[in-house]
Amino acid sequence: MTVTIQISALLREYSGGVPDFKLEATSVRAALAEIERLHPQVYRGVCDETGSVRKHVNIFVNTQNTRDGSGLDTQLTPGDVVMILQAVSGG
Amino acid sequence: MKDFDKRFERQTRFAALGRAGQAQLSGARVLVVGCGALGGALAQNLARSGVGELVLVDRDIVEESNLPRQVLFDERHARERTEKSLAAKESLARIGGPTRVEALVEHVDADNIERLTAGAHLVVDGTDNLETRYLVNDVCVERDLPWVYGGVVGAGGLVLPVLPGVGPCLACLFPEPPPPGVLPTCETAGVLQPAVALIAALQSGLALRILTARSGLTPRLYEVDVWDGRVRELGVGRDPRCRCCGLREFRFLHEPVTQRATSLCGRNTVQVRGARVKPDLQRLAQALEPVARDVRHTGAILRFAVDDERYTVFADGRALIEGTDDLERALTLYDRYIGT
Repeated sequence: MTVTIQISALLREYSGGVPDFKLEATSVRAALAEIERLHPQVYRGVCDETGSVRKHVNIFVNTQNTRDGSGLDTQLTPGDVVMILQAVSGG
Repeated sequence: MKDFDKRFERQTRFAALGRAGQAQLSGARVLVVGCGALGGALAQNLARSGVGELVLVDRDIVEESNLPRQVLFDERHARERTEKSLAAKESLARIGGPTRVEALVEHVDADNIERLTAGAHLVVDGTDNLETRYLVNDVCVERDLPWVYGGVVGAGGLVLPVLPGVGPCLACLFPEPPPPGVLPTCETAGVLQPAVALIAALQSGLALRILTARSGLTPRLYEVDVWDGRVRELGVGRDPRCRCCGLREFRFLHEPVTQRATSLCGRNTVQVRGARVKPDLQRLAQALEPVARDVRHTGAILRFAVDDERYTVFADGRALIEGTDDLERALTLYDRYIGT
């Protein structure tokens, strides 16, 4: 099923400036595997070498934080928006 | 009509605030941590709104490159290299009004954060690094004190009101800060004034709400981008296993990195110990290319230069900053170019 991946502006340097793209995935874990294939630098910014989401990064499905629910096993439905967001340190 | 009532008439006419809310504001004490872009805008917003007492704390001095977005400073402050908190207090005094302003020139750390937050009803975040924010988060959760996180870089950023016991804390959302060099800073990625203004406005509005009508406020994460014209409201929940508000382990508060900066005698060099996690030197080198000179990453050492200072960063996050013997200045430069 097709979902939209949105990446925060600060990660876009790793996606060639692309703010969002579509891919086929049935779960967040599957979506990340696709991101690793399509945009390996984005994946490296999101996941560590064990495949866990980095602790300064959150993945939202629509407006809900997957960290508060099933994490990487969060199931996706057609049209879902998966947003990747990292902490912001400037001020 | 008394002068006080006349000054705040438009605010008290806003029913949700009213005269009772204005009276609550005039009795409130707010700590503003950091007094640069966000901190200056926060201080101005809260002073103009009639918050009774503001404590401004910042270790830095005003520079010309601050002026496009740091609203309380002018060219004289930059020319005279005035301490930011003192310059902010001077500008706020020109606005007038009933707010009492205390300006402190200090580096915020575990040694002084409990003193700084004593008596405060709220802390607002204008700092420029995550290490200090996790420290603020620890002390506020431990003391059941609300605070409002705000972070800005590029054209956007994040805002989260932290209401201990009610909603998530910073560590629920982001359990650990990343290694130095991973996140862009305002120096490496730039920053736009409207992004600062929007984020500070959101923080300030939430601050007024928390100080006057906290019940019924559901904490949410706000993600904004002024370049794309977007504000997103995101649901976030408490993590019962959270190190800070779940397990109540306040390690940024009780296990501080001691003596972070040390002057190397006779060398015009300061050694700065890094944060708790190791930097990603490769990514840091990439991020510094547009702003630094002589960027060289060889093995476990990264070298670069900016302005009159030369930097050597080691794999454990330790850095030597040549060209200054001022410890506070070195800490500022470390957070600016190496970051947390």
